[in-house]
Amino acid sequence: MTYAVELSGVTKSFGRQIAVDQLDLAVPSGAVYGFIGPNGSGKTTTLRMILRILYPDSGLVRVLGLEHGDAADDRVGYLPEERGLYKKMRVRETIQFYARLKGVRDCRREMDEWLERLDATPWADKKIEALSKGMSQKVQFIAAVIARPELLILDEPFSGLDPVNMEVLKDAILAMRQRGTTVIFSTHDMDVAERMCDTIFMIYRGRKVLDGTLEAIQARYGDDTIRVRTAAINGALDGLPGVARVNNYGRYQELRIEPGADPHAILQALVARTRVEQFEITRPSLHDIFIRIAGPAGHEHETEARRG
Amino acid sequence: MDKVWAIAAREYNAMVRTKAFVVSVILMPILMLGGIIAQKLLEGRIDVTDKRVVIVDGTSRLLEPLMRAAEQRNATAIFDPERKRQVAAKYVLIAGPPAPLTDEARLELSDRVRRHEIFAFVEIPAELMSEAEDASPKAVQFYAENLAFVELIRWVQRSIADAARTQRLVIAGIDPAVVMRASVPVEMDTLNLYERAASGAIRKAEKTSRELSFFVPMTVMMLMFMSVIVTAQPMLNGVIEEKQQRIAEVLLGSANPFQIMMGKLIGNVGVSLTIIAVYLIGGYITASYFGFSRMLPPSLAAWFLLYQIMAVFLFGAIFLAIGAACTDLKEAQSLMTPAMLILILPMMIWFTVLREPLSTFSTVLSLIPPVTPMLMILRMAASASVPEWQPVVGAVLVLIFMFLMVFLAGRIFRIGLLAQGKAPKLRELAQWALRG
Repeated sequence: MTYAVELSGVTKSFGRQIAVDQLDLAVPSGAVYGFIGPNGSGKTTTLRMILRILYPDSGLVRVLGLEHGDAADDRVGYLPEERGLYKKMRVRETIQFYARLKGVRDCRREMDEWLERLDATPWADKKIEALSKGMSQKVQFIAAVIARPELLILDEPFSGLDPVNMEVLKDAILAMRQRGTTVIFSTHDMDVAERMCDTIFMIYRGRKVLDGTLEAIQARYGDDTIRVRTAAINGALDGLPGVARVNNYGRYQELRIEPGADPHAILQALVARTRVEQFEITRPSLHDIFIRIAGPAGHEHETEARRG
Repeated sequence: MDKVWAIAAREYNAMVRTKAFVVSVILMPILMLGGIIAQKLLEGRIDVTDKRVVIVDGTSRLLEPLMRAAEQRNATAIFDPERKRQVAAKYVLIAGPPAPLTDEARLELSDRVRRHEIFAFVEIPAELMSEAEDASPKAVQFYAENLAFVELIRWVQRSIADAARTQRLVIAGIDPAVVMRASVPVEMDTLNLYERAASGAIRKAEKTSRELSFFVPMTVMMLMFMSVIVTAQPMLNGVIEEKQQRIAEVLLGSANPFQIMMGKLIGNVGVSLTIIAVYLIGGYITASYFGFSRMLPPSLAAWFLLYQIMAVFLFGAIFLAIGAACTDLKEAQSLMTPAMLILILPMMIWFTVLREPLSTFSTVLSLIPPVTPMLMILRMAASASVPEWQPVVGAVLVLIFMFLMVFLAGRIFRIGLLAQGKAPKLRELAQWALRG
């Protein structure tokens, strides 16, 4: 298997703060790779090191086969979080400018295709400052992919998008994969990560805590989750024997069972207390796993280290 | 290289296509030209109605010569034969009531001025022609509602003085004509030097006014100063925008810091050349209008362009580094002060240098790189005999200094472009520059 990106033993610190600590990572070519993790956990730092706009203090970064490449790599496309466009420029000018920076002299056909596909043609001649957040996010995306990169790095591509635009952008990313592009993106949206990513990578406090396919990750946690819907509103689930933790989602609740506890016994205890409308033994969702690792109830409290 | 051009083109467009640029740069010479044209048009519209002035002559000897002077002026000086129209008002002198005047009479005359029957009235005191040795002459009194019509006031004063002098000479028994001949003023022309033209013929020196020999060097230097300062500030703002908007990361993912910086500097040179082109065209029209376009020889223009480009590179690099090192404009202000001081330095000493362009002080100063472009061009415009080696050596020194600045600024630029948070101290900046 060839890897588009390989990191081994990568450490980066800013002053006394360690942003990324002994990180190993291998992104297979052609995969869609999702970076998850709370704010300040080192996602953006890692992405920037892959882009080589930051150099690691120690460790190895290999991108598209090159160990000592330049940040200016025409084969890599990048979408920074939320911003990255000149406000005073017009949409077409912006895209053409970024294409030319990547060594593509004439991108008009490609640009028109993308504008059409992302439903952006009507405002193609507007200035960036006149665009809504969703619109400029699309322009940003086109600017990142216009030069047909082999590796596409997207920092929070979905933040601030409405469901319709999110769907459009998701399809566009999957279309890039169809072309053979390796896509790495970071996100806060666990749903998106679950649905889109071949492999999910979670970083917490600068360390890798999850890495693998969704199935593999869920398998690691096993069938330790029960999803229930009951007639009782509150309190009915408190102090159930064998339940380690209750996650209330409003319409339903997720119970994490203690190792070795019997789900059947839990169901019986529950039936004795209230009317059960739904009872399902399942694997934990990515969301739940994320919370287990990084949530306030986790073994460590999250510190708001602003390390990007 | 294509990336450098792409960045340069974007930079150029971003700067030139703003309203502020159009207003400040393009409109200025147009306004200046407009001013000249407006003046020209208004010249024909001055008030040419007769100015009637009552003369109350206490000496009873000056009225007659004054009348003659007025008649002579009215006959010769108020009509422009070329344009076939009157360009100045006729002065009509009227003999007033006998002197001395009572306050009653003065009020009466004042009322006549107010009724616009006359424009002014003048009281010449008898003491003006007093023969007594120790008589201190009293001042002539000029009364008018509008004392801003300086032309008339000056004419009246001068004519009374002339008439009084002539009369005093007559009284003293001296022929005024002799005195007149004796006191013909000596005139002097200021000329630049003879030189040998390329054809071998001797080219005569030409008359040059002293004001002009100040004006041209100053203008040339100001033009350079302006084009540097007009481009440097927006570039600094641009870098800060790129940092704030995280455009810098995208740029760095496409081009290396040196290419980005070069692109920006080249774009900037383009902007400054645009400004200069606009001003040169405007300036040339103005210069031909005043007839001193020959004051800008081509060799001077060539040196000017060379120094201009280097100045933009040099200061542009410094301002880029500052912009890259800061997260917002407020932070940039404090770091900008030293750079600004260097830029403004020639403005503070130009007069000394201009007065003695060939002195050791001026020569040494004009060979210190950051101030060389402006001061050298000032000296060259001021004196044709600046030794030829000096602009060459100056240019080489500036070039070396410029590359050094671009190199150091490039390092600050690379580190600063990604740095967030508070502005670095000067010491930290120096560390970035030296260690890379």
